[in-house]
Amino acid sequence: MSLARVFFASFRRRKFSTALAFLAIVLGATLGVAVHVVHEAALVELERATRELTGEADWSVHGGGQAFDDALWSELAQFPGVSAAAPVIALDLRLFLGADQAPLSVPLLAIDPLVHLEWAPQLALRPWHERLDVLAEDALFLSPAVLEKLMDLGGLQSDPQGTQTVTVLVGERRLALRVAGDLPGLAENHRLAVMDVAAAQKHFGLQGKLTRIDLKLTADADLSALRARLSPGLVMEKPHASTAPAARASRAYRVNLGLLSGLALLTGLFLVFSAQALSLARRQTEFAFLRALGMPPSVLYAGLLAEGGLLGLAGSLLGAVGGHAVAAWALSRLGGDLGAGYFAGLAPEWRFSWQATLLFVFLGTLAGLLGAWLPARTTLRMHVAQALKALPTEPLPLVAIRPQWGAAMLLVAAGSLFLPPWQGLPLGGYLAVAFLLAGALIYLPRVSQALACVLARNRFLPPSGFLAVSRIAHTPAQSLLAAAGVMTSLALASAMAIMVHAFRDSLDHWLAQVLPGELYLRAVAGRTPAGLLSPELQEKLASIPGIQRIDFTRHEQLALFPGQTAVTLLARSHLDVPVVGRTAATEGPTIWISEALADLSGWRPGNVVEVPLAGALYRFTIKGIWRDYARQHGAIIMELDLYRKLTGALGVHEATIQLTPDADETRVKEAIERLAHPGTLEMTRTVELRAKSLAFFDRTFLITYLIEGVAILIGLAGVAATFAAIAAARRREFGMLRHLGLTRRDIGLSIAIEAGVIALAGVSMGLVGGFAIAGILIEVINRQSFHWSMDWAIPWFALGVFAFAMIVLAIGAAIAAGRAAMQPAAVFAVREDW
Amino acid sequence: MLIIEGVSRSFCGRQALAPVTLHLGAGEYVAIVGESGIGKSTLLNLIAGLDRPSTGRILFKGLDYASLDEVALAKLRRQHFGFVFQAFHILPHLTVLQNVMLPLSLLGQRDREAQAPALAMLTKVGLAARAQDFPQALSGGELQRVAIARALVHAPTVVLADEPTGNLDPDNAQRILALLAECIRAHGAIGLLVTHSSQAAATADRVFRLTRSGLVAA
Repeated sequence: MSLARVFFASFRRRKFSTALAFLAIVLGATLGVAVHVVHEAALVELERATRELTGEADWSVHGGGQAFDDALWSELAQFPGVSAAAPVIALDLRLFLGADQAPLSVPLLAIDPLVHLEWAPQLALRPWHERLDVLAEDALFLSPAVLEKLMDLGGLQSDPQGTQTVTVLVGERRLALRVAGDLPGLAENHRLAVMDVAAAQKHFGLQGKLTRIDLKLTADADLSALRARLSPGLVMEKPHASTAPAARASRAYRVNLGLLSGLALLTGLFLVFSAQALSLARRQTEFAFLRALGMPPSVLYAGLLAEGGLLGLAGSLLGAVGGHAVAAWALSRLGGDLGAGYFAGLAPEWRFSWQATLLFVFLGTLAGLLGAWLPARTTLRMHVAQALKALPTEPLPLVAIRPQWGAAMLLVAAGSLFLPPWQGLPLGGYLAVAFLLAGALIYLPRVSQALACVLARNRFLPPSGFLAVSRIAHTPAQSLLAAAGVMTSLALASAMAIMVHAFRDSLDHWLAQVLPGELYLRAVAGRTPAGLLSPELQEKLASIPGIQRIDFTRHEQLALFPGQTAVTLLARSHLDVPVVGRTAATEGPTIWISEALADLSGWRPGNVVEVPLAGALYRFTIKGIWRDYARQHGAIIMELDLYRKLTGALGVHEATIQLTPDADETRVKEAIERLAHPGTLEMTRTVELRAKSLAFFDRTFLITYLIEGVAILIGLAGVAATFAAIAAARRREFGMLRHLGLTRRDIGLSIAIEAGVIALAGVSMGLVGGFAIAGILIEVINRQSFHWSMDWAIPWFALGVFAFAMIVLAIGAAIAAGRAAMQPAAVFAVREDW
Repeated sequence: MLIIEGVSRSFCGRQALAPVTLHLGAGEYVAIVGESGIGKSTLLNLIAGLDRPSTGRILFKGLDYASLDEVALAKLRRQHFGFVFQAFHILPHLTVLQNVMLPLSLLGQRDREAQAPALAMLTKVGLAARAQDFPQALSGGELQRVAIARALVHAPTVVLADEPTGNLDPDNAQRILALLAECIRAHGAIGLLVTHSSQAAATADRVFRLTRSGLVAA
């Protein structure tokens, strides 16, 4: 008989606990692999799409989306070291699909087709009728993916001559453009529209403007001279540099989702630990016998480690397969950012990832090995002669861990909080969570013991209660085995619950402040140069009867720092923004910066900074910092009047409208609709917009709740499995107690009290840990990942109900397990199974 | 006082215990011997009220077990029965003293009240000095002495001992048997010893052999 069989055959005797540990590892690996594969696919797609759009260009000059004077193009084309320069306007087009349908958003690249044909063959335009259509003012070329989508949605109109047109929304106008051909060189899933740059300038109010210039340089080109020539607000970057900020931002999002997979793996680790420790207790005589036969302790140790490792390996392999399947599904349904909005417009495809697969198979196997390690170590200290005589009853005494270790872990956790983010990742925060949990676990048995000792002093405790508490006081390993899974999963779940509640509460307040009034209005064309509401329309809007106050906002993208995503400038007619921290006394022109910008730039209230506007640099004093949940890359707010004075630009992108108390909302809406082309303006009640934002928020965190729920269920099942195993091992003890005159009910009560005290310790420690981890999530991890703060709000009622339910469920699980062990007929089956 | 009349037990049609009739009075110490699987432990379980007979009846102080539910039988055991097992069954998480106090605690006595008789019993079995130790620190013989103290501390009417020396060496076994007999007699209890060993049985006043056809005098 192979030695391996001695070890692995034991899985069959404890199917339930093995299955639970296996399930937790499968869950962790599935989630981890899925998140990695989705993110990797999105990044590959992002880079490919960027390559398709820029072709062989060496460098790009841009203003972060803000338009600049096209005179720069001819100037750069003649600059020493520049072998070629290509003008570009990049916009988001909104294609009208009918009054009852949301418009289709498609990225538009307006280029000089003759120049780009050489640089980027993928962008070759294929006219369907006339070759000169590539330069025609009304001609639009669509990628196969867009054409297919438009055909599906009925967005293509045909005239009797067979010419196909699409309707583009521009501000409060509609514009009909002819679909003159397609883009056969683009990847099948790439959505893009292309037109001549001069035509785009004319149609989208960008006469004499560009948003980007692509450059090819000679080997001896002087980059610093080129950069010096650029006006304020313009940056020169390698084309692929623009993908880095999106990749960085989405990585933080991915790491946070990865934390959830870590939660599942950690739960798996504790379940392997608990299953192994209990299994070892029952197999003591068997191991003593093997040792007596001459098996070296190292072989026994290695065999037990291999049991845990095999469980982890099998679980993580299945999890990796599941992860790839989930990733394929998520990519087709939710996109490359799982709905978070970092990679809008991309349609990445599933591809096998060796990196993610190997990483999570390794982590899953490691969880299994670590779970088996401590119980396996106890066998090294086994007294063979005693164990041969002993009846298998109790878990082996675990290697004692001194309380000083717990204090050291907590100190390391506290120290980690002061580590700065590493490449945008809050590693210090994650380390703090890990060490905090480790420290709490070391103290868990002591807390159970302390609770038991307090209860033992109660004079009115019935004998069954006394038996329970004295048992807890003398078997700390049991508390650790039973409550470790509950404590860990509850700590992380309650921390997430507190953080999500605080976030939601803060978001709700923030929405009320940034979306005042009753109505929100904007052009369907969105916050692009094509989506501006004209000054005439603004005047007409302000004069509609029933409108008490109207606040206009204009958005601009500012390239403040090379290599960073553009910062958003919001010019608003009223500056009642949610302020964070102190404000500075200022003179002259002022701005407010968002928390993200303060983190990324190091700017603080009172600093005087230079901000590029319309090609010139202006000095502003920072008045204060405002909270912005909408823009992770940073935002500046200034007064609209000041913006208009400095730039001369009068158009705005959106408005919030406050009605007079006696106004009829329907009439006001009708009056607004009459001012523009049908279907060009989008009007929403601010209440609905706020509700929609909160609903989106809830949807985003739904996956979090689901995974937490599963982790907690697994943790509870762990309690049941532990108590069942302990109860089965204590059959003789229960039998003796019944001989002494205890009824089944008394013994059930004793088990219930025991489970209740242990669960109370686990839940209390879990909640205390949860509060501490919530603090780390709110103050460190969120701040470093997403650069936003939130106000503390604690869901006391939900946490109370949750904690109570956990204790009741743990007691119920323990009673059920104990009852099974007390049934003479069932004892045999339970003993073999759990 | 304890009347066992035609009591038998079958499991799934297989007879585990042939019909047994036995009358025991106060102060009687009886041993039952027999081969393995003959039903000795089954008989003890029936006498303790932990199992119900297939035929016959058991009366204790005139009270028929058939008329008692599980709770009443548990109360009966608590008040009137003491047990000594082969595997000792001393709770590892209680001290020696707490283990001996356990039957008194189950009868509702406060720790204060239970401590003195428990200590007295421990003195009687020679373990007063080990009262505050945990069972892990005791030898097999000492553990069985604790079990005897626990079986007798509440002055039970009946003491049931199932192979009490099965896990002990011959010297220790003899000492324990002598101690058990002495204690049972000193308390005037009914003693029922079930054993394989004829040497152990010899310490009782009367010896019966359990056979496939029932109980016969040895």
